[in-house]
Amino acid sequence: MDLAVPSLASAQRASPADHALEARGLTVCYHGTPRLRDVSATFSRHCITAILGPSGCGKSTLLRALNRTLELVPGASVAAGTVLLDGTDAYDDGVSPGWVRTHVGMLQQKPTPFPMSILDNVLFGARYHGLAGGPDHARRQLERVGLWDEVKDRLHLSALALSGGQQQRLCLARTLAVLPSIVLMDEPCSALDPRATAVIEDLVRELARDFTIVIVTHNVAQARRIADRCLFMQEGEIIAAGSREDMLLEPRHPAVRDFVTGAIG
Amino acid sequence: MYCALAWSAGAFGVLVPAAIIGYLVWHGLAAVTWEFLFSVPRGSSLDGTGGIWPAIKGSLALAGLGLAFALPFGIGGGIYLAEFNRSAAVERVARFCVESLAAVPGLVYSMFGYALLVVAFQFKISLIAGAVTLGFVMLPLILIGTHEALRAVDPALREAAHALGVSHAYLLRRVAWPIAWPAVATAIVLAAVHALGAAAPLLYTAATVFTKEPLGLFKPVMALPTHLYFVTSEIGARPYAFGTALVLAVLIVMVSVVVLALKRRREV
Repeated sequence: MDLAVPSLASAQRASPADHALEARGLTVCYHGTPRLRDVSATFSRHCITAILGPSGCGKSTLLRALNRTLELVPGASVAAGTVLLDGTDAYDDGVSPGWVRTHVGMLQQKPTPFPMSILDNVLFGARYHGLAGGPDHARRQLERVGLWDEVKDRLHLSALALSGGQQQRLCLARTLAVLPSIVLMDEPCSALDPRATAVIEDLVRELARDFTIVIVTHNVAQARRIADRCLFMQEGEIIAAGSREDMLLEPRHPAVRDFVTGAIG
Repeated sequence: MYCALAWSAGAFGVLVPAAIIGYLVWHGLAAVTWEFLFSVPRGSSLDGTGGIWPAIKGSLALAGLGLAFALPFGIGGGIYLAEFNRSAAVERVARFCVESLAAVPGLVYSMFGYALLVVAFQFKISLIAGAVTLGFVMLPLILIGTHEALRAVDPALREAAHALGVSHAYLLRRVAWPIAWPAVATAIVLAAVHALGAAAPLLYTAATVFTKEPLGLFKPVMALPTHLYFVTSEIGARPYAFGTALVLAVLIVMVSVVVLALKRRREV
């Protein structure tokens, strides 16, 4: 059941075979109750894929299954199906969760700076993985998220003193510092004001040149602004998928149409 | 109405300890001299003369050694339950046992310490038997405090750290523990203060009425709360007894202040 048929627009950017990430028949249970049912989706390289849907439809569960943080949730387990990461089975016995998580980075809903200096935050994962080759590494990540000029004089001060938008970009830099190829974002702007949201959205578009991006949002306007492709989820299933144009401008599926026009959501 | 209730409850909470300290100062301060603090009791019986230095030394040694015994188990157990145990049933059972342990009366600890340490392990009535018994008293308080402090760490921070592919031990050391530490420190202080003031657990395990010998692991010791108990039964509420109580109270306040100050420095 592969609903992710790329439209002409996205086909020009990525061929259908060029999937960075693929969910194949994924069924996820919480304490035995299915939360995701037979979800299949492909995420094309250097595309921004938005996952839309009402609250509780399983968007965040899907993200967690994609980078194997799901197994940290008590009672949650993948009951069937798998995730392919550049063709590698991410749930294979020989594949460590740590490896999957470094390749599939995750940015959370609320900014989650650790109570340590800005520099230590950026290099938190990179140091663990032995990637923090000198101060340039931190600088490159901070420049990439447009934070370097704002924090270069206070790298050794606490990250908790930054504004919400700055904290979110810092968390993004921290994710990028472990050199992922895919970045998942779980409603990354829902805790931010409109200006900080615009900054993050610009950033996401820019990052799509180097990364494959999957962004969960229940903000249709945001999906319209940044997404190349959209998946629409409802009650643990993907009920429609397609290009931004197909999904958000002229949706054919009635549930999607209701959601996009604001009748539900 | 609610405001007035809250204020009077708060005022009561402040006034009671202030009144106790004030009362002790009023009756006992005159007795607290340099000689009282740093010399041994005079005479062979508890006639309320001489000093209380052996009891101060003994109390500090008992609480210190007891803490050395309780810290690894308390903190280790708390960390295990909060961070590494994956079974909800184990967590529930362990918490129930530990909470029951925290509710055991001091004299029961004393009986247990007597049967296990003094008799079975043949420690005799000694500093080590009393310290370990005080360790049993402190253990549940430290364990519960550590467990709660770690559980209170924002799960979003844990998830963020895990999403960077780091090990659980790294997450604990770099993120969870620094956040939990102030609350853990508070639990340790409360446990230590509780132990410093506890007379009952020492009665059958460590305490002696009077000794002139230096501290020794396997020798009976004097302790402030038990000394206060013995002295007051002997001579009644006299300045010497109030002075002893005052020293005990001040010692407890001092320990709290020192650790709270350390904690604040960590937080900055």
